[in-house]
Amino acid sequence: MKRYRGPLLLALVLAVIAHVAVVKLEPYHFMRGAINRNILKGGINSWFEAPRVTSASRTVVHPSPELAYSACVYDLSKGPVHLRVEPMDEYWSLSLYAADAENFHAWNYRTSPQGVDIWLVKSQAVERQPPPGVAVVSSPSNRGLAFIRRHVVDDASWGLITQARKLDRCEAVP
Amino acid sequence: MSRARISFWFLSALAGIAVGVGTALLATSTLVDPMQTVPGHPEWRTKRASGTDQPSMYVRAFAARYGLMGLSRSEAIYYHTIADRQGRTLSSSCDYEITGQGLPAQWWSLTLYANDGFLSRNTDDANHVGSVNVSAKPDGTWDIHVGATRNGAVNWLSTRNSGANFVLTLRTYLPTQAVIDGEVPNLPEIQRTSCQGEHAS
Repeated sequence: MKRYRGPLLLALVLAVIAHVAVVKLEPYHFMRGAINRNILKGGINSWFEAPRVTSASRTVVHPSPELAYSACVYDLSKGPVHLRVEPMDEYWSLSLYAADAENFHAWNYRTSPQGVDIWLVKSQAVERQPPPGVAVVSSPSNRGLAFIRRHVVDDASWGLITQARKLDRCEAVP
Repeated sequence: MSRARISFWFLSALAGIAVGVGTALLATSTLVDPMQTVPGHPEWRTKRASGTDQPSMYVRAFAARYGLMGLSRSEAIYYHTIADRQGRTLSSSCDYEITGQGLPAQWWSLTLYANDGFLSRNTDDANHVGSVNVSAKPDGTWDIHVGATRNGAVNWLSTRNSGANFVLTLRTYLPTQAVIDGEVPNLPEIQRTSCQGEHAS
């Protein structure tokens, strides 16, 4: 029996390490998939504006027909990214998700009625100062996803959303 | 050390890793259930309030697997159901009446999904009803008819081309602090009214 003790202990230790590693890495895995899918749709540092959800939509399971989505994969490896969301009277929100899928920052039409205008950076140590009125927000990871949700009330509001989208920004700071 | 002994150590290591990976995938796909039945509203299930800003690694993994890029609890709370008040699976062969009233949130939306998880493929323009378009009675309550035809109802969710069964999702956006903290809102009640070839109940 004694001769099995070492191998069994090794198996137990490796089982625990593998278990914890897989559970902790799963969010990164799924987020990487989402980032890659959005790069295919909209590239990097630019908004992908999803079309209006209809009964024919088959891209995302359980879509919200009352919401208009925009997504931007940001990449901070070469410097800050300018994110801007045009405010609207109806509900809108901007959520930022890091590489581990953590929703590390969010704004909405109640907390930020003036919209959002930020420089997203990897660390607080920014070499350049943003223009007046532009806040600096730190991302835990170089890559992540910015996600806008806007309330589609009716056909008229879809028209307003289309106009607002033209003023949204997700672009590398030159 | 003999070759057999080395092989045994090696196989033990492999078995340990396999067990670790297998139990991790099992735990984050099926064993962890962050959903709970809403007290007093047996047909509705919602995400369990963790009571902490730091969910466990299992809840994080489960959320990434099934609810990637979801909204935080302070931004939106979702409720799902596959059954009526009596616990019977929602069937496209039956008609239902949903009764409710204003919900403690900035706005809400109730959406009907076909059994494949997508919106039903029909042209009824009746896949969701929300606080902005629901027609309420003078006392603030409302009824929503759920069925394959409108049946003269003011508020209607169409089950046409939904498959055998359907799912309802209630999304409440910017809920009140009391609900975020765990207070149970007065959720809509779903009652079966009739089924093809039989009477209600």
